Amino acid sequence: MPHTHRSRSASIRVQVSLGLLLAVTACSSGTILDPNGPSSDGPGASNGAAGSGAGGTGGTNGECRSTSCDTESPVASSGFPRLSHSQWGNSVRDLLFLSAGPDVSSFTTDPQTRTKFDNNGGELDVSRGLWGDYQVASEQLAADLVADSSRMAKLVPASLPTDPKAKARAFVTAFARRAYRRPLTAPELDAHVALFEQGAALFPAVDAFTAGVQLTVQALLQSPHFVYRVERGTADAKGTIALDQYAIASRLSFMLWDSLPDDALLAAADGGKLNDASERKAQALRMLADPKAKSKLADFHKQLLELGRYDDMHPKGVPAGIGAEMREETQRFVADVVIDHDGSLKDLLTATHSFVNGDLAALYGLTGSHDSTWKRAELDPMTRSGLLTQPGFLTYRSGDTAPILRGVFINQKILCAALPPPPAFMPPMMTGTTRRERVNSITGKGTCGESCHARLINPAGYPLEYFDDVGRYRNQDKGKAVDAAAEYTLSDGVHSYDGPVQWGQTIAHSSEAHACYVRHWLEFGYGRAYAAGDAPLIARIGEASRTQSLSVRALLVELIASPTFTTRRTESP
Amino acid sequence: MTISHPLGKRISRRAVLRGAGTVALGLPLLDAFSTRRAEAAPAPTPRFAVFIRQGNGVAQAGNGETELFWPRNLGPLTTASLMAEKDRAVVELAPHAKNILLVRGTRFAFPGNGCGHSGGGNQVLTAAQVSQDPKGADSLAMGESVDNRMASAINPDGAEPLTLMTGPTMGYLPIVLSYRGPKMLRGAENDPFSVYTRMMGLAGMDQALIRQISSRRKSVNDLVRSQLQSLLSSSALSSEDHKRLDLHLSAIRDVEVKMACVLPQMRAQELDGIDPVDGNNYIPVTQMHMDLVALSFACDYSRVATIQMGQGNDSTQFSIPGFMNGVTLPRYHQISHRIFSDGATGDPIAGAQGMHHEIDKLHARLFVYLLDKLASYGTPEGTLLDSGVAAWTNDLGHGVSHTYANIPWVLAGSAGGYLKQGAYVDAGNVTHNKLFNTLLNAVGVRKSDGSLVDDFGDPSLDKGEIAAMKA
Repeated sequence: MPHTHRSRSASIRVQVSLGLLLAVTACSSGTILDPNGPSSDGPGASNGAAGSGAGGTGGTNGECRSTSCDTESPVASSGFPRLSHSQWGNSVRDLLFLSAGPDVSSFTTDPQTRTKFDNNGGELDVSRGLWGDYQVASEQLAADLVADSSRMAKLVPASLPTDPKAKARAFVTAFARRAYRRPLTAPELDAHVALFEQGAALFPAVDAFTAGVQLTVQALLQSPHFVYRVERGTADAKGTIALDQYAIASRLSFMLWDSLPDDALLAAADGGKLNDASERKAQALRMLADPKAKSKLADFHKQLLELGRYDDMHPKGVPAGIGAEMREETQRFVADVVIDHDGSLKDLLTATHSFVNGDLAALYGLTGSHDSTWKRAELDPMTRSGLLTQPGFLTYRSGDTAPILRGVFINQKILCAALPPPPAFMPPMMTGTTRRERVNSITGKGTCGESCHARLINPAGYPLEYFDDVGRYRNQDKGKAVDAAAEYTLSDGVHSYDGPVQWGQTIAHSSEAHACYVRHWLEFGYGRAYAAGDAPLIARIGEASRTQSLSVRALLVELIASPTFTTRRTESP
Repeated sequence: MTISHPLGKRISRRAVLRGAGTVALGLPLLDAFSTRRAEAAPAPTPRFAVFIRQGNGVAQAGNGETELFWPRNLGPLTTASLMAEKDRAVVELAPHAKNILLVRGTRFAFPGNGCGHSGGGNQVLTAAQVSQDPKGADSLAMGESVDNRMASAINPDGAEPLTLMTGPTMGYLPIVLSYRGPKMLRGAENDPFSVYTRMMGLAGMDQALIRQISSRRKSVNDLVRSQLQSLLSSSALSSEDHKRLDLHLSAIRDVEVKMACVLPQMRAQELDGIDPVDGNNYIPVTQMHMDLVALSFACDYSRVATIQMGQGNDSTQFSIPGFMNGVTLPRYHQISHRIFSDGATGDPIAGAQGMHHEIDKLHARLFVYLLDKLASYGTPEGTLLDSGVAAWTNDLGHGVSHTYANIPWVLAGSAGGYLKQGAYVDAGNVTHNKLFNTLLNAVGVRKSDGSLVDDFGDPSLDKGEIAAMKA
């Protein structure tokens, strides 16, 4: 690491110029910087309004075609987002008061959707295979339930009336309200009680009430009102649908818990309180303190950072199983920052501590005694900067620092820069000594890879050249001093930096990174794909995250408090 | 377990399948297929189609490499002629030579959109354009796949095709093959036991219990159907939501008690015991999928199936018995590039073309395994192999170039006499939609006016069949 650390203010040459931005966009036919990134002033704003092909919601979305581009307003989304498999399992767990949800790992696999998260419900469907999975699992869960008196006792309060008809009606009313996350209408209640009463003939070996419970549970776990978040509401003349209280409650609970609303949240819906942003904030804060929210926060980062990939990494020259340890390190770090210390995106990108066992401590070059136990470690602040310098993030394949892959990931996942696909032609053979020289020889300035690599990908990957193929610090590459200086153009100008710490600081203070992080949360939290109409909301919360170091929890509360949280559209305006 | 707890029954049956309990259930075997089929379906004889897909191209001539895939000469194929092709992958097909139809000279019509593998996966069963948005590795097909079209036409009630894959369902380019329509990629199942459990349904239980479970399911299904129909009648439904709810509604089936979908107990136990995600299980899991496809045809669960073998750019590390002492080979995708890299530059893999050839031969043997399975079930015409068609293909022509030209198509079975058998033909560098038109007609699909299908795939493509494929 060079000894010439410059302060961020010195390292950033503010050279805002429309010309530069246009030069960058020459990399593809569309825009490079995604619409969510830029702040509300400067040349980036027009990027935002133009939209980049970032897609829409459930195929019905669209680009901004009206004044809604400037204000936070509802976008088109599915009225029937299907629960992800884990949401279905969690909902069963909470509905039946189980200590753990059923195993859904063998459920028919969903194809990847545009958000890359597993819960983009508007693009998930119920195929013949999944319907069969639901059927089999529901029958098994219902049979297990009625065979276990302690489970039955949790589900069937002693306070129910003794008259069989009244008892059936009371059970169905309470159970269906929780399963469907709303009260039944009167005709629905009649139909469900009728189903309950069929139980006696269909399960002749048990008493009529138990039989009714079994059939009802078996049915409701397969019901579209359980399997989908049915978003009911009232449409105005312009096509904006104001969601009813219960749809809002479900949005809240699935966003923060990946599961059903609890009694307190349903009570707030009963009371008509959830149109009030302050009530939603209060509910969100309450719910964020629940362990179920911790799982959601952890799962977000696991999916976003593609931590599942780490388990399959088996680089040479390091202990077997290091990939899984790298994943564990990042998961412990994220939990510490986001959950235990209510930290922010900046903390994730700039922290100088992590969690290590003996194998990780060796990669970090830490002294002292380390064994298989995990403990917090203070890292060298001159070389390490949060997530981007963790071994798992840095490792792709043996013997290759993979600056292109590191750079692509940062562009796509951290900065939401829309890279066009790589060219189909075969580049010429690499020349040079160091990895940087070799990559430069086919993608640097003056080559046909210049437009994307030289301006976007390489400058995001080169500052990490101080780390070898498994994230160990190095200052030499094949006998030459590492060159980790680069420039990257952000919406506020050209930024120069040298090495990972300056690069981490640059990213952590950029509008792009904060908007990008909020955009990912919007997709994961709302369970739908980003649409152009989301840009103003993302820009506002992104700027709050950047300028006020909003904690990740606070960022979620802001997404929930937004007026768009309570509305949707069937089609784009 | 009493009959009052059907799922308790299911659990105990699972235990039986695992060998943990006594053999309490007499599971019927499929020895009586022909008679039952003859009784149940006098006319017309059902047709079947299965597509298995290998990734990363094959080691055929191109990019300065010699031919290691196709036979030397066009024309008739016999066991002897294929046996003589010792340095070609098709040598492995010799046992079924009389049923084989090799088709060279078809190509994908459209360029990929930034990712050769993705664009190939998009087109291989659709003959549709590659999406502009999304693009790159996320690109999607702009039309339905041929298995989808077949299933909607020839499956009982138009039920969805069976969609299987070997390998992990997460990762880079995980699922690529089957499309319900433009950009509507269908999920795939990789766990053979899970598929088998559902396919088996209530087979093997006693009749009284089956009646009881069927009645319960009917009650539940009636409620769910009425709820879906009510939701579908909502006026504020987007067209996408309408399609999704429609799909859900059509997925719901009441129990049909007919031909038992049951595998021998030992085999069922093997299905239950395997980890479908473990790359070391590529061969046995693929074979289990093939057992399930044959079973599906035999008991009329679905008449159309696909098996995607490996991910979009399959990175399985094969260990091939008899080749290099069964050593674990480099990642298949890197072998197909001939370098230790998933990109364009990297250190060369010594003997990569030979490794690719051996991987092709492995897949040829897997295809033969499928044909053996199909041939083991009788139909009024002979076997499933005579009544249907099986296809082994690839979503690239050649690994190194990622070309979409001369895609390998290895077919077997005449679909009741429609397709030529024991032959190697050249389609003449035509777009492969014509191959699909031919196959669709072979299995009995027709246009709405009753005429032969000539327009599957993108509407801009040349119409018609490949005459050389027809008997």
